[in-house]
Amino acid sequence: MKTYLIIVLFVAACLLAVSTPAIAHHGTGISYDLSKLVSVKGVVVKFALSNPHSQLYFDVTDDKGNVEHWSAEMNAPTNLERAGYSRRQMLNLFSPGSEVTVYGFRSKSGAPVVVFSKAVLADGREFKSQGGPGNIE
Amino acid sequence: MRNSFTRVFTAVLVVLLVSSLAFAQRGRSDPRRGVQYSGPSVPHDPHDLTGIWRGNAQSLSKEPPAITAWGKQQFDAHKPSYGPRAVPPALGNDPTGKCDPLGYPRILFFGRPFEIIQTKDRLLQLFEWGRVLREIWTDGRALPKDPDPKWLGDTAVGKWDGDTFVVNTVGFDERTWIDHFGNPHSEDMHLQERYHRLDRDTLEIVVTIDDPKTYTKSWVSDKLTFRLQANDRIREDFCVPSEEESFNQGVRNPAGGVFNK
Repeated sequence: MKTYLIIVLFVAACLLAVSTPAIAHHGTGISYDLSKLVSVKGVVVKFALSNPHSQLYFDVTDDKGNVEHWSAEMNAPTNLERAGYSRRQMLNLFSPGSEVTVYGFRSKSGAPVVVFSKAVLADGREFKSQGGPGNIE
Repeated sequence: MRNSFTRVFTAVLVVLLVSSLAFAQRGRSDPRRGVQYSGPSVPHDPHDLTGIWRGNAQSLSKEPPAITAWGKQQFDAHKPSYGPRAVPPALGNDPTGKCDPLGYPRILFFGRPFEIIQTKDRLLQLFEWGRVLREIWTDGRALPKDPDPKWLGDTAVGKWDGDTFVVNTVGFDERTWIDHFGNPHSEDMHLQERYHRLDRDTLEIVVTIDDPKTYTKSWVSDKLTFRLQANDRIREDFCVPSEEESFNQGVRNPAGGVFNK
């Protein structure tokens, strides 16, 4: 009986998870190709916690030593604040000179700009989008 | 054993169905949109609208009424970054891209919360975006006959009609858009809002726009629902022109294919 109950509860939990409607996000992300997630490895130049959306600027160096300046469009400051992140935490996380791999959706124009999905730092720390067109979870 | 299994299975399915329906009715937790389930309804004073409210409507309704020739001219000149006519913000002309005030009623649709504060002679709306303060006079004054156009409307007056707080506003600056989709209005717009607190956690607003210069008949909104954000507060959220310009140069313009603008 207990086994049956556990199985039924498990199935019910799965059904509940699947049946819950997906969260809709504001904004169209019209400037970005939302069909293809890309990842770029670089070095943080600057993080700007400012309106209308936060920005991460980072440099990517290719095999020949050429440097390309990238940027990522991130969440609005109040969205990060509501998710529990302070300005100091964010600036510490993305301190200049840190190695970072940025995941996001690249601009349709082909410019080195992404709408941010996730960042993984060299020490393994991760930071994910808190919603919006770049959100992948 | 089979009967017990059937009983348990049925019970779980019923719980699942009921919980899903309840979830759907009350909105979902979403850190970006802030529409939160904040518990069962409890007794409330329907004439007390104070609190922090947040909704997720994007316009008055899906379709505006038929538009006039003048209105169509304005509509065509507006290049929004949302909806079927969306262009990259770098190629559009949404006033908010330069930190211009959203105006009213568009600020209702921006996705940020607002707080209602009631005093003896006014009901105040403090919007998080821009920390905009809107005054609705409840001291019995009349609407001006020849209002000046203002971002939020020249004058807003409110009074109770039973359990509904009715607000009339005139005198709008026609540079503002009604919503993110670029729907226009003229300086002659007369805006009426009907606020009804359905329960402790739910505020419903119905907005009616009368603007014969722009629309051939009244535009009556859907029932716009706002949820109480019991544990939140109004944060600092200014649109700062210098920050906006920096964002435009570093992100928005190149993402939209505009360089060195």
